[in-house]
Amino acid sequence: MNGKIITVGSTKGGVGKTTLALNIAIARALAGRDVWLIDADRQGTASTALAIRGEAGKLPAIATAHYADGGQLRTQLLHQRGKFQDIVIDAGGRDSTALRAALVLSDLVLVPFQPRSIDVWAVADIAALIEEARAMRDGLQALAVLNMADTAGTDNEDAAAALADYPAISYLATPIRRRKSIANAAGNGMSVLEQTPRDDKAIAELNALLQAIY
Amino acid sequence: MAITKKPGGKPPAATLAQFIEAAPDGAKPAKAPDDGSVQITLRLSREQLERISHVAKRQGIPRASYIKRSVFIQLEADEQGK
Repeated sequence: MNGKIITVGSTKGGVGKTTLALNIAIARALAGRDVWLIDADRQGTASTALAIRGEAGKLPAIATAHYADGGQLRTQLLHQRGKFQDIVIDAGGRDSTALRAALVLSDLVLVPFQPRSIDVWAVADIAALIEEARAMRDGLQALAVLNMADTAGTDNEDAAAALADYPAISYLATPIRRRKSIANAAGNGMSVLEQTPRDDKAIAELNALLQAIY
Repeated sequence: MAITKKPGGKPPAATLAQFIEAAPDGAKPAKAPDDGSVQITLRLSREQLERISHVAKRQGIPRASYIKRSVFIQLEADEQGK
């Protein structure tokens, strides 16, 4: 493979990991890349979304697999990573074997968080895990991105500033704001890039994030 | 430059597996025996241990299980011989 293995992960649920992972994977596929989206969450939401996409005949098709067990995820990833150009792993919602396996095999872990105090506090857990994983995975890059960020007010800036408490993770200043278009697209197994009517603001935010991570 | 960094190298697979399985949903170590049980110590010569290990391996069972089973078989035989 010539691309990256990116884990969209957090030990906290409800931060929009699956939606973000779907958007990244589909965006890369739309750019002509051969993408594998690994669903490492027991809930299997990413797999369900891609099944809906497949049933609707939406192209490009995205290869997917569901490995909620860390050992299985590690084995399969080591065996099959050469077949794809980009791999995106949707992992977490809690500390799990799958999240840990994803961390030690990834080039980059993208940590979505909302501009809320409890979300910022939860970053401490994933930061500790990332530090542990780095003992085994030299060069594991970790970036936190505001997801479902506010469209107004100062909470985004405050949350970003609070992240300075966790030096294991760098803040990526390409927030994805809370928009219905993103949620609606994901529910149909689509990226906001494919959604009609077009949401130019959401598309611009996603493209800025993609440019920063690839 | 006179000082070079110590080469890191890849961590052993066992270390990775240990990190992964340390998650709350990871494989847990075998349960400790019930409180009502007792532990016994068996003193064997090196040769006897080797013989037992050899037989257990041939039968494809863990050595401790083989020893435990042997004790019960012997006990049963002793009770029947009374």
